Amino acid sequence: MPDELLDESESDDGVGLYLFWRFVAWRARRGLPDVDLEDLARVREIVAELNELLEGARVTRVQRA
Amino acid sequence: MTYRWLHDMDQALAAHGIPYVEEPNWRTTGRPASDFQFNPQGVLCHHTASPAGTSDRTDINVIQAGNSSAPGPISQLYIGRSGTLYLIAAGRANHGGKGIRPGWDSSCQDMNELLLGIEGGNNGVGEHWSDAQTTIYGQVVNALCEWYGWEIGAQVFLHATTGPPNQGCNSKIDPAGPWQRQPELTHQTWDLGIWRQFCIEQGAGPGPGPTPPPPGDDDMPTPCGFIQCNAGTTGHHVDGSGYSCPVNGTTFRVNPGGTIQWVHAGELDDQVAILNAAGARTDTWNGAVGSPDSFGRLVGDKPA
Repeated sequence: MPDELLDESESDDGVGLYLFWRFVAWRARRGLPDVDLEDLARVREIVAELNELLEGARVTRVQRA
Repeated sequence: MTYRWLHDMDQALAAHGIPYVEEPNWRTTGRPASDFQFNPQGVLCHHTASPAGTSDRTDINVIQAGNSSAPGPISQLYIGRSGTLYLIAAGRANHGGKGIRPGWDSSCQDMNELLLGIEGGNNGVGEHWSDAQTTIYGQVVNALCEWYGWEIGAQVFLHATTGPPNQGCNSKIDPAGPWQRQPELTHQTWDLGIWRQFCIEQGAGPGPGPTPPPPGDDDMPTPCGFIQCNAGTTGHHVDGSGYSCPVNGTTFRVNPGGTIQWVHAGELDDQVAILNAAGARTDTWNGAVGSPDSFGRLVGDKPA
């Protein structure tokens, strides 16, 4: 998953929304519970999960380099 | 370092009679002026890529929250599937990344500095854009360009057209999907020339012009059709006051000249029959539309 995300985000900062919705779909495919995205606090929790994965992916990529 | 806060976007919209919803603190929302520049010279149009049926509130939450790849806000303006326009941020937003504006740039530039971003709620892979949504989208682009002195034919762009993949900037498809001028599209990007022309044509939308007198039953104008709105949908009367649709299926007659009239419960069939007999068009847009303001300001009674 992290590499999959990085592939979509490596070039610029204009991918934020697409990235978010890919992550939500990925969570659903893993069977993780739905969250109420009309609640900003819950959206921020999901974003925190996404950010954690992105950070891990970047570390992985640096190590590979 | 130039950082221009667009605190007057509401005035640009009001000058064209375009209704909007102000998100809290939109005037002070933006990427930090200490770290970035923002000197917009045009408009960049996007879609959110959210699943069909995503609510306006959810899209707005995601735009405001951003993420580490694109810290929020992700656009200055947002137009929901409901056809409602929201003011998100007066400052810089992370919507465009690096790109090349056709006719302007020869190498990758900072689109977030140079362009104001508008997100439209759509999945971009086949979801039909409602006419109400794309009409107000075009009206907003027109109003902003007139207010800030930008030329629609040269300074309005689609995200997909600023990122040719073979020039190393970005590779995007938005905005994409079937809309009123290109209903044949599925997941393909809109045509920039068609979109610009459409935006130019939206300059004659409902505005704060002279208030026409409400017609009486004896001089009812030939309508363009009827619209139906869901409960809670809001609009504005020509006197400037607001109103809210009380029930799903609240019906309005769309008059030539940009006004609408509430059709009292039980009167629709009678009106359609009379108008059909007179040879008038009685098209009905079924289901929920965005704000009835997209079709015109209300004259006469408010729905009750």
